[in-house]
Amino acid sequence: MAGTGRTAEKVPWTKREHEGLAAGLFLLPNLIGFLIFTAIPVGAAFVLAFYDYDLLLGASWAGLENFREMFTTDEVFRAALFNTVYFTAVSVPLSVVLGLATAMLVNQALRGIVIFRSIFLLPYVTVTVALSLVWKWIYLPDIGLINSVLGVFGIAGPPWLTSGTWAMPALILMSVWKGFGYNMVIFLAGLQSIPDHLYDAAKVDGATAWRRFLNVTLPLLSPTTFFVVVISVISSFQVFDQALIMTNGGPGTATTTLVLYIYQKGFQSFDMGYAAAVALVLFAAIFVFTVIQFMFQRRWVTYD
Amino acid sequence: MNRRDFLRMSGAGLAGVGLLGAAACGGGGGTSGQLRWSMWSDTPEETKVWKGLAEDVHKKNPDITVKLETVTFADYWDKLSTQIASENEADIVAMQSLRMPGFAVRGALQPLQPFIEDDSGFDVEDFFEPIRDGLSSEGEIYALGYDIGPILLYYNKDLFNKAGVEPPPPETPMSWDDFRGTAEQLTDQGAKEYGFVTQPVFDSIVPWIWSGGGDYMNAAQTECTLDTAESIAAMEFVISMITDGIAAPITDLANTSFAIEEFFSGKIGMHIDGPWQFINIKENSDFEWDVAPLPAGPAGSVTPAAGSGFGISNTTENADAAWEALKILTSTSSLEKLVKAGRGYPARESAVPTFENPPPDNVDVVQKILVSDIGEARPFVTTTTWQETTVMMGRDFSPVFLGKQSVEEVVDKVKPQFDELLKEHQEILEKQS
Repeated sequence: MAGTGRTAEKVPWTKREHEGLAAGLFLLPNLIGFLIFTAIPVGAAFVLAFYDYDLLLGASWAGLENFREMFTTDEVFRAALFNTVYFTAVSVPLSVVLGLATAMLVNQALRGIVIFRSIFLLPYVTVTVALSLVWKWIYLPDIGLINSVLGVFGIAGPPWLTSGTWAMPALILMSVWKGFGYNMVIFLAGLQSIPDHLYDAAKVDGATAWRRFLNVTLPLLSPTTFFVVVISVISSFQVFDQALIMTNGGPGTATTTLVLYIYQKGFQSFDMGYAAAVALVLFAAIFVFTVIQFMFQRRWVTYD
Repeated sequence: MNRRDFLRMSGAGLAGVGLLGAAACGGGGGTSGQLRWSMWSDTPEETKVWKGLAEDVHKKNPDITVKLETVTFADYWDKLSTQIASENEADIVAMQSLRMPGFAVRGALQPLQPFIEDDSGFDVEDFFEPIRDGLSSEGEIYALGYDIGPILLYYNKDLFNKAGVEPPPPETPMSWDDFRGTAEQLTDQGAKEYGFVTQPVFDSIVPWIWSGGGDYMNAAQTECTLDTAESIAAMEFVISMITDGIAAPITDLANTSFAIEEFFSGKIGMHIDGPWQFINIKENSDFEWDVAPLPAGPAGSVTPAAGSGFGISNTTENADAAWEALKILTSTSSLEKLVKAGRGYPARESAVPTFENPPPDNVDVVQKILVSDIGEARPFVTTTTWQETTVMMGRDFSPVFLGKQSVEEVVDKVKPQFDELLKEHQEILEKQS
């Protein structure tokens, strides 16, 4: 470019430069928001994690003390880490399978199918706090919907949300119900991008519906599945609202998740430094999981 | 009892909370200007009442305009601490005594003594002593109260009549044995009727611990004393009511209004809570009810008395105007308005007579408790690390209320953590002095 002899006054901008400027301007609003509300706080959290920072008393350098405490004496952190992994390990497979199943179910050219698609998506677009309140009633031990139905079959249901054993499964069930609709929509888009002629070819070759699903649908859907799994894992690691509203992390620490713990430490106990340290660990966990998934995707994800 | 309301109660004896040099009457501004007032409010009705008071300030002192900022009680404390951290808090700040030590030591409010001394027409003695103590620290008062409440025993008259049981006497507290016996008689598990209900949080067993002769920490605030025989026996007494099926089973750990809502249902004989629930019970119940003093344990009928009030922010540029507004907000006529709206029991003695048409019939009990004619009203003493203590207690005590762990098991778990938080508390006090 240098040495072409053009000057700013004489030569108009190239098309490329125009596009660059336009792109920059279009990105600006989002970029500013991202900087102010995400990048800077995240950067600050990285620093604060190494401080003993009381929200009102100020900060003093703590080195690795927060992390030492977290991994040696803090039983609540250990429980929260376990609970978060438990929640993710159970809810992600369930909501992915359910999302795929319903996507196939509603991927048909029937009259009014749009209504069904909307119904499945409805829980996802509803505010979690509102759903949590409704599910609290559903889970009530005596008069709740679930135990009433179980009672019809002579089964005495547990006190779901106050049982150390059942509180977490109860949260998972509610979360899967709430979240699978999103996966359904993504899968639906994936399904509709699979060309019909591949199915036709498979049929000609005499493949059963099951074979067609296994050998055409699944492989061609693998990029979609990969996306859905990555997104689901990330959002599951950040589960918070349900635990706060339905159980407040209890009984004991049975449903205390990492983000709930971060909230309690930072905003209820004024211990921002420690909260930042836990947030950093959560960030690292999500980062590592995502990297691992990207590493393993070569083995099972096929891009045509 | 509603934990939110319980927490709203006052606490005093904030030992050793030395405020940083806290020069009063900062910057200019005079006695006019626009002030921000931050307050909690959970319902539109409540907000209306507070807004009315803010307008009263302007009516009585046209130079001052007060802008009310409300947020729910649960969110208020998160918001306030964030605002203080960024030095953006309102000029007039609502404060609850249980949280007073935590905020006082962090330099959130100005000492009010200089204002009181400069203001000859102002009589601070009109405020009940427990609320003055509750909003003070080291003899230094940081806020003027608007309400005060000892924890009372609420009872459902209809259920007592139905079971043919004598109601608790208003003048002499019933004994623990009588209390338990009464609860047993009122319980009808088939009809899902129970003699008693308790909010599943630590705060709601404090009255029992005190009446049993125990305490949660020593006077020096250096050691947790939940492991004493008296404390354990008292906790076991109240927990056994749940595990023996004469108090309602706990079905919700996340609802801060669990117990009071159970009481609203009309299937609960007795419940302990503060006088701020008068209005809520009136509105939400269709049965006859009344109040009595707390049952007397081995150490008598000892109840935590407390309330909330308003203070002046340490960073305000208009402290003198804030003081003028503060006086109007907590004046006898303002508190009378609050009482008429059912917003608790007034912090000033001169506002008490506004209770003219009480339910409850036994409303006099409240004043008798406050001036120690019946039992003992004790300030709910908290520490600078109380927020964290509350979170820890909430977490670790929940299995006890569910009958999953014994009181002793949980005390073994809680004591070392409580001791550690008290150590931190002492360190914070040292750092600030």
